[in-house]
Amino acid sequence: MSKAWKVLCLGAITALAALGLVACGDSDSSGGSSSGGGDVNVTMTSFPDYIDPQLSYTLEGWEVLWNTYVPLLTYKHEAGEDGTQVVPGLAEDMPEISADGKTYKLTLRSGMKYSDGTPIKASDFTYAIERLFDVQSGGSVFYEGIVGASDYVAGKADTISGITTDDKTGEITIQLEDANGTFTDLLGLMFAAPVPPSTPKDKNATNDPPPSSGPFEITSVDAPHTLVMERNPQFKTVQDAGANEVADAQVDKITVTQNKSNSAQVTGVEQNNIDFMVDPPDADRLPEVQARFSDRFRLEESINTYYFWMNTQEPPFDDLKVRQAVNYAIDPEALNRVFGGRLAPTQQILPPGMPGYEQYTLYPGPDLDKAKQLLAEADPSDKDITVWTDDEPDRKRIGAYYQDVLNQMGFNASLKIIAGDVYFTTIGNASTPDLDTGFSDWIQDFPHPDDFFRPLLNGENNLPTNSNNFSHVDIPELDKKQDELVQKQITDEGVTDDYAALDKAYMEQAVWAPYGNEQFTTFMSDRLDFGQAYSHLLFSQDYSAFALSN
Amino acid sequence: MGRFIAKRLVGMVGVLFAISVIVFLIFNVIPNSDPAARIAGKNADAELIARVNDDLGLNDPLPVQYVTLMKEIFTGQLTSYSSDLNVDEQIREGIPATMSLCIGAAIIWMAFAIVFGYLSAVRAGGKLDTMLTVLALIGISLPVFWLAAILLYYLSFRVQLFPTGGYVPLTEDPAQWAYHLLLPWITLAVLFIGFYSRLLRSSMLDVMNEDYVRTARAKGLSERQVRTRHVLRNSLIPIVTLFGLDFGAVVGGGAILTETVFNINGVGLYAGEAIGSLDLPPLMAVTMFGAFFIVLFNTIVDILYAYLDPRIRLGSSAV
Repeated sequence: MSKAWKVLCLGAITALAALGLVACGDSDSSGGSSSGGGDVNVTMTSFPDYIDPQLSYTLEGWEVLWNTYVPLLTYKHEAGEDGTQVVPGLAEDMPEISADGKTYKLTLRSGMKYSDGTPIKASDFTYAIERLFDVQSGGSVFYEGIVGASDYVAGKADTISGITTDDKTGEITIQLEDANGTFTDLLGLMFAAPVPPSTPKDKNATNDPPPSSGPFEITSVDAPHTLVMERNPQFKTVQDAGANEVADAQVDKITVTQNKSNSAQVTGVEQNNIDFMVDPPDADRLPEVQARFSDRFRLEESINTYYFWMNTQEPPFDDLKVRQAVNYAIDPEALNRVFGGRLAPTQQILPPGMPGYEQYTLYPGPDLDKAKQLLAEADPSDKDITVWTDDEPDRKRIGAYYQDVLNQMGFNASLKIIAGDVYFTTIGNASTPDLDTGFSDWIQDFPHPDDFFRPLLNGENNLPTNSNNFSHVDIPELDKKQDELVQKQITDEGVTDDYAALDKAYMEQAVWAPYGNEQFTTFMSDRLDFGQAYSHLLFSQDYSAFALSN
Repeated sequence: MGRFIAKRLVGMVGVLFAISVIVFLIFNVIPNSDPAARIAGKNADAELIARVNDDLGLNDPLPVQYVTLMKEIFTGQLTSYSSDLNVDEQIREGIPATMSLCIGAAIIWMAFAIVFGYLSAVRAGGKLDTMLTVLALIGISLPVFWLAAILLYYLSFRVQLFPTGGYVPLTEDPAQWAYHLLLPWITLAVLFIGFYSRLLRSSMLDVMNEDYVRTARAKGLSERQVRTRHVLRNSLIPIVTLFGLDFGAVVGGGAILTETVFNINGVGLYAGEAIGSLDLPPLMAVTMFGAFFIVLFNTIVDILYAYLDPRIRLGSSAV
């Protein structure tokens, strides 16, 4: 046998062996095609973090799970501010709250079943909250104020003593260590959705999600590629029990597929191969979509704030005039261009849609001259500053813009870009050097103003690690005001006005330089009824509103 | 020959061990990449982070963490920090897509490279040679992400001739499998066509001046027979060597960009996501996977050479 012949033979053997690897495995298609009828296909750039109500803590996850797992309370299926209203879900009514605000009494509706036919019991709520701690969910911190939760976590108790239930009557009583005006909102999050005891208590259930109580059930998951939601055959038992605020499904099946290419998703929706894309079209495709598909594209409000934090404990941003100067210099319109027109300008902490939001402008601008004048008056000794941002394309551009503005003001700003996944833990670690100023954003966990003030601005949350108070704000009188307000219910008289005043008080101290509220998008194929679809302020697109167009 | 192969395999294990240690150490010296803080969520307190750290074994000494990690890789127990999904399963699911992409692209690049290189060499200095040289240089210069975006824009979006990405398993629908992979194959192959055709041209021009080629001509063989049987076959040896290394590198991570742009759920896309989220378990497993293929194909080429040329395997004892 000649050399060349041997070479070719061995090459062929190698290729055949490799082809064998192809044939012996299998992988799902990412095409996400629908088979007509009541089927809808949805794409998202990032697959939900978990298909598990106690664990999921991303918008993608909540969008899927909202119509799958129903908590005792839920949020109204309405667009706009109406959607922030907490209403009864699996509970018969809103909670009966004791005068001291520490005891919540609810009653579970009777006769309801999970999608596998298992009866829904009051004790399933206890199981869900305990599970939240056992799986070390990021959402468990919200429920640490329940009496006995800390003992349960420490292994000193087998159950959470502050939750008592009666499976016969459906009564559920929850005792809190301190009054907490946000607790009604917390009961409406999926973290607190009852699941049956067949759900593994200390394990992520993504690959085999628990049976559902909502209009859809998850019938298949191939994480992180695709999942299928189908009508819950037992949802009628929930409806018959009187859960009128839990909307029913209008399509039979929704296939959700991860697609890493935003551009391919846009093209897919344009060509009606994809029915709905969760993420907004990238800025380079947005103008084309807005111009050509205005009959099936619109911008949607969302509750979030984009801002620049400034380290109020260190020069130069320990000087109020310097922080005010930055607020005067920022041009929200310039930043809006980075978002392709999806940024509504703002100069305050609470976003529109959040209770307590009242529009005001303290630093009209952009006014670079005024900014320079204030900076000259402050005359900071340290003008060498570091601007922090992460490596996502839009955020790099935001950081570059901010650096440029600061340099125009007279600073010597250098830009520090780090990986998105470690960005917030890095700037939230007080030992990180040169934490002067930088990019941040905050998307609500639930529509209560305390969710903005406490983690982001309360002096007690000025932590050495994993802090969200990036500006290192520590204003005791405003912390005290927060503590007073959180004891009250948001519906109590004057509470929303007080939160509006708190917002203004912080901005008078210019603790941040807020510049915008990002808008989400609805972009759908011709197959779907565009008029009926809407984006919910908390859970984004409401899949129960998906319907095929006539 | 057996001893030679055994030595090579031991070397292969050593290289894989060194790579795993380096990746593990690099990950652990990156500041602020605390996975527990990220898993615990944006509102996590110190107690929750401490519990997650305990659960993941991140409080153990580094050597213990390394051994645990490697044990989990080889027992199929490794799970991702960010998604809590089994890493081995994810890689196993991605292999068919990655191998489909790489093998198809490799066949295209080898076929075109041989044709272009051959024509370029036999017409050296002519118009065809100049044209193929320019084409090769263009191919080498085109970044994969740019070419992929252009092909997608014109052929998928404008003309709607091809799908906008995705992968259909070969076992499910062979026609759709090929249809979905055609653009990715072309994208991945273009760079290598340019490079390999230049290499083959150069190799053939060298071989054409060898004594045995002149002898072949003197024996009365036709020019075509001389070129194909003697010149081309002997010129292919360095190409095959390089192919072994390049194919290993493409399978082991070189297809990340192509898989990402065309949304092919292969090992490359998985690797890209793990890198983006600094998720050590998949990062480690994917690196080992890539290194395994690179070292494996390198070893195959070495063994192949030793088989073809006894001087190589006898090299050490002959000295």
